[in-house]
Amino acid sequence: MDQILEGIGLALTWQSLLAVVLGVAAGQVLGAIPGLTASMAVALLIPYSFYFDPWVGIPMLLGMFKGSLFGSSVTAILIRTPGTPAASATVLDGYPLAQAGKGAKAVKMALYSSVFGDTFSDVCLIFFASALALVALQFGPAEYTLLIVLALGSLGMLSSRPIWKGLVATLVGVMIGIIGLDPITATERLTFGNPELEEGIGLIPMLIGFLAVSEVFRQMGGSNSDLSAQAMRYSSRREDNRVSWLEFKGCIPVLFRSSAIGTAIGSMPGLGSTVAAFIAYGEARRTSAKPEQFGKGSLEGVAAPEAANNAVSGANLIPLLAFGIPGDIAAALILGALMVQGVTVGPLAFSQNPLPIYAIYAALILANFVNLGLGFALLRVARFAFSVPRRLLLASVLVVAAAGSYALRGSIFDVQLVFVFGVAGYLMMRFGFPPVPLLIGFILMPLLEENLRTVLLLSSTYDQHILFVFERPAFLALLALMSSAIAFVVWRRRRRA
Amino acid sequence: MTTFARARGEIALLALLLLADAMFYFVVIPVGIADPDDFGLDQGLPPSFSARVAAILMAVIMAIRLVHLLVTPAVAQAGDEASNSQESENAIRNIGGIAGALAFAFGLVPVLGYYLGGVCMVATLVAVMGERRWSYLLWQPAAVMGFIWLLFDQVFSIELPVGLLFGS
Repeated sequence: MDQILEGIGLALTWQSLLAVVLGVAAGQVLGAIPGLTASMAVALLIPYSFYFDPWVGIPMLLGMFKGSLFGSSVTAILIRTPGTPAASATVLDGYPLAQAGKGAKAVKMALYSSVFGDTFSDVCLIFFASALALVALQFGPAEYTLLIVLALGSLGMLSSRPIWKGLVATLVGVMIGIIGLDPITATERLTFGNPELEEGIGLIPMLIGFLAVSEVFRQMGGSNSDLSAQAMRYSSRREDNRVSWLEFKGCIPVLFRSSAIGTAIGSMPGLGSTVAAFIAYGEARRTSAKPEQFGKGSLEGVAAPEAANNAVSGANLIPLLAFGIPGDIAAALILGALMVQGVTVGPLAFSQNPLPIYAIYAALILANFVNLGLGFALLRVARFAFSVPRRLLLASVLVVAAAGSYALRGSIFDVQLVFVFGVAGYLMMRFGFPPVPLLIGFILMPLLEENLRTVLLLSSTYDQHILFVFERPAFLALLALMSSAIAFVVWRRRRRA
Repeated sequence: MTTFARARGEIALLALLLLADAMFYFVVIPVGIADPDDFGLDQGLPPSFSARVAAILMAVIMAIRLVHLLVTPAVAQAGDEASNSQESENAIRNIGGIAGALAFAFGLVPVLGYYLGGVCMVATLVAVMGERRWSYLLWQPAAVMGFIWLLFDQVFSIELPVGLLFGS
């Protein structure tokens, strides 16, 4: 107990509190800029963190990581431009709410959900880190493959009517994900000799092109009065600018489910917050009492992806703290910063020197509260920034977004891709194809292919049949869990009908 | 639009996409992905496997929908995105905006650089979208690009392209 209090004391000084405030504020602003991901925000801050005491620098990094995830949702909701890929699913219902003058309500729901998801996963991290990490390590390529195939299928089917357009969009995304060097044989795939394509298509140009630029192109066709009016309109009704207790209460089951999904996915290295957000969104839509409102401005549709993508951030630290294995790039950067600051993590740290672990826990919880407080300030700044005429905002989104996509790889080709994908996204919208399943297909394609190939290699290496996957308890458990979830939804729909 | 007209439109779209899918499977994949000789399943999957599976699945999904529509045209539905009054009010403005943006990416940035090209593009787009005041057409693009310069160049030390005319 003394050690716990001493560890918490390390992170609860005024210096570390100030560091968390600065980190969260910087993270929220950087996260809101399209193209600058949470990992990039953390990477930008790492060099500065070395100048500080470890218990000032590390809380600052953790705060920045959390702040950037919420910041990215603000632009996703208000101008359909996700600051980071993790906020792509928030666009689906956040933007329709903003178009209806309820942008402030949507942002506040995103803020509450982000903090809820963050806190949920931090509590899981604190109490179940070792146990969760052990479960997560049971997940092998067969389980990942099953999870991804089901996620692709269900999200493709749920995202559009008629269903075939959503599925075709998903498969087009898969095809775009194939472009680049084959991960095993290094054979060029669909690059046609263009060296810029050998690394594959970047996720940021895809996201910015299909979501933000296509929307700008669509809105350019508006009337003169629309284009000269303020970019964001807010309803004057009080209830459209706040989340009532009843509304929040209605979302609590979704928040718990989505946070659990985010925590489970975050504890498995490699999947990441974007995947968690889309899976949670699909699950929330499937189990909702009002699924027809999804995609048209459902608060549950904002709460689910936000809770899930933030829950990943805490859960990503589970394999990091328990085994020293980072769950994603941001966690790897945090590991690097911890190592340079002389802080050891991993199984031995829990028994030999647990003080830093408790200090990290305290800093994580502290960052959640700071995120909540500063989130309202960011909303005010965003309301001011987006009060310019719509035509100026639309043109500005194009140049800021293109600069963000250039920043990642320093390639003009990426800038060009942003606009090519923007045109493609615009045409897709005109013909009724949803762009989001395409992005999901693209994001999950490398993971799916890598895991499927590993499964096949494993089955041949050990001279086993592919059915060896059914001998894996984790695979069977996952299959049973998913089958029962689908059966439950079918049963509930029939009962309702 | 009547259900039958909608069905006809969807059938035409499906036919076109099936043709494109066939082109992808029979022409683009063989040209774009060369599977190594003697590639066996013990080495995993051949490089073209995923592309072929995606193309086949796509063909199957579209063929099922096509047959469904041919048998019962009444199932034709307007797509979510197309039906929710997002139709463009001014197609010429759309085309002008898209052309301006593509000219920026493929011509202005490589030649004039990001900042000067950006000023030109923002001014053009704002003008295409109805701004007629000269002073606004000058200061608004300059302010936007000034903000980008401050953020990327000064804060993040990220140098945006300066263009062939100005050195790289």
